[in-house]
Amino acid sequence: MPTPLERVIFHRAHSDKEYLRVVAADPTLDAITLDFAERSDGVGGMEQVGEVEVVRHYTRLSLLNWDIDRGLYPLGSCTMKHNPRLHERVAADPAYSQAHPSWPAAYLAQHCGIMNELAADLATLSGFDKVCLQPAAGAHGELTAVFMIRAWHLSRGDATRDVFLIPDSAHGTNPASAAMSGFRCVQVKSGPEGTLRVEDIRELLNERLAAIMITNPNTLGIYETQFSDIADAVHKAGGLVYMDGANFNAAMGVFQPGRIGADVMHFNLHKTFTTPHGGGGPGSGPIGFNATLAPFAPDSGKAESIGRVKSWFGQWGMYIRAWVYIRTLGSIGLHEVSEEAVLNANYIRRRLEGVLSMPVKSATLHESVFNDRDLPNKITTLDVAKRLIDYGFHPPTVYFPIHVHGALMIEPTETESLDELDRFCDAMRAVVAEAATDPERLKSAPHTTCVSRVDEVLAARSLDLRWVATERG
Amino acid sequence: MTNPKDLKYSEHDEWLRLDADGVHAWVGITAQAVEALSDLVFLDLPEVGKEIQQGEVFGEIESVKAVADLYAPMTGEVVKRNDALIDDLAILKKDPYGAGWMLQIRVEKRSEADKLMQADAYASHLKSRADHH
Repeated sequence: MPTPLERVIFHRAHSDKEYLRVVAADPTLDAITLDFAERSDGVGGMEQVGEVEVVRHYTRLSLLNWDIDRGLYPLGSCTMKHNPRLHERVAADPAYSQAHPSWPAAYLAQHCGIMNELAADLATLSGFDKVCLQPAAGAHGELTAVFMIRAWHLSRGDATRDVFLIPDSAHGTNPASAAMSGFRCVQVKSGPEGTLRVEDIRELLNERLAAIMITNPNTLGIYETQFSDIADAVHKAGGLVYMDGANFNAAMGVFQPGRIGADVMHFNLHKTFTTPHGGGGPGSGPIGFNATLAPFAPDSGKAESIGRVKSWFGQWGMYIRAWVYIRTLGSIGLHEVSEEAVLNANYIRRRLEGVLSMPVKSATLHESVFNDRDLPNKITTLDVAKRLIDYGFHPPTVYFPIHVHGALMIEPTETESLDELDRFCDAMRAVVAEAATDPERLKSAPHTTCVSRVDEVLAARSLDLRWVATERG
Repeated sequence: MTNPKDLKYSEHDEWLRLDADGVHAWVGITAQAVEALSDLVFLDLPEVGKEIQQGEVFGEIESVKAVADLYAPMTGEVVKRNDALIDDLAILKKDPYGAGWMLQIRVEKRSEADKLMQADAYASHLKSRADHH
């Protein structure tokens, strides 16, 4: 039986009670509380709600949600791994959590030491000369890198290079970063093996080329074997190579982007280095780059710098977690992380091969992409994803990468046990079996959530984020 | 799904219907394109009077899954724009080759039509693309 839909908190309001006075127990909130109490209609349209109701409301909402602490979250290219509690304990230490960047330098020596060590560790892992920690998310790191690439071209008096080459398998943030920086994006098609071919790239090289953006391993989970040849060709044509580090979880201790031809890349601390994702974040997207680009970095202190991209030092709370992660595992441990991420993904691939169709058969690393081509009764990727929720799993990434029809992209990460992987594969196999025997069950899924299918068109066309008091429940 | 024989098709899944006057042409996207995009959300089309260039992007269509560029099948000036379609994209699902037209253009070079595909060629183009992935 589905849980009844939780009413919005305004429906729980009682204007005849003054529960908010409870807040006055905290003396630092006196001023605010007084203001609350003087208004009979609540503050700025906010009604008065008792603490017990607030707590229960948000606890119930949190139970309707899914998170990595509840179970597998196999979103491809998102690297939803467990956030070790040790990191949270260290980050919560008042010496770190209460630190303020405007303290005198003497009080921040340890913090700066940690940031310097983290930057040095990321440089070692990636093979770049320098790392700038500032960017606040992966896409922010991309944008920062594109600004640096533009500044480099302009510094050489080369103002006519306006083209970025972007593979059809790229994350949408790649063309967005290039376009926001004033570049024109030209798409590069992947070859039949799911990888880029240097001969295809050569045809697109000319004096308009500013840079190429390559995700490696790419979003099909395949290592770009011609990466170095492509980088050589792009460099000879006067362009630079940006590597999207979204899939770096497969690369640690395996290959160094800075040594195979990339000029700049971003890291996602919230993917590879276990800091929390999304709402649990904030994210953090440091960039690594070679010495040529170093003067243009936000924190270079040089006249060529593009300028800072984040206030103060950036997401300090994420740095300390990533620093603890790297310190806990060491170089051998980090290499094992990548090996086990690849092993887990390939275990799932082997258990689902022949169950779901695989559009590209090449060897894959940390993730694999299936699609809905062979499913019976017009069952789609969306139906499979929704039905998986009933089995107690977060669905994989769907309909991405966009060059694969009906893509279903699975990345388990290294932190899942064999038992959990088996439970997931069993569920996937059961769902596919149902596609033949009970297609209606899939088409109307999910059945166990408070809301089943949502009207995505309505949500996109008539997005309404503001609650207005029209009726009282 | 069969494609009307009287239309010409581009590799980017646009169709073009040349009027009998040989001067005007109607532009839209194929039923296969509509199906691949799934639930449509927004459509962005150029204003009347604007020039569109064969093979160049003239607009955008957005679904709940992705945003796709629209490529001009021929060069010409926009004479009419289907504003009713912008307001109700469900029309595209029901009638992609009729009420689902996007633009009427005044064609500049009739010879450009030779670069487009006939219905049979478009069908095999779709098939080779499906085999690829």
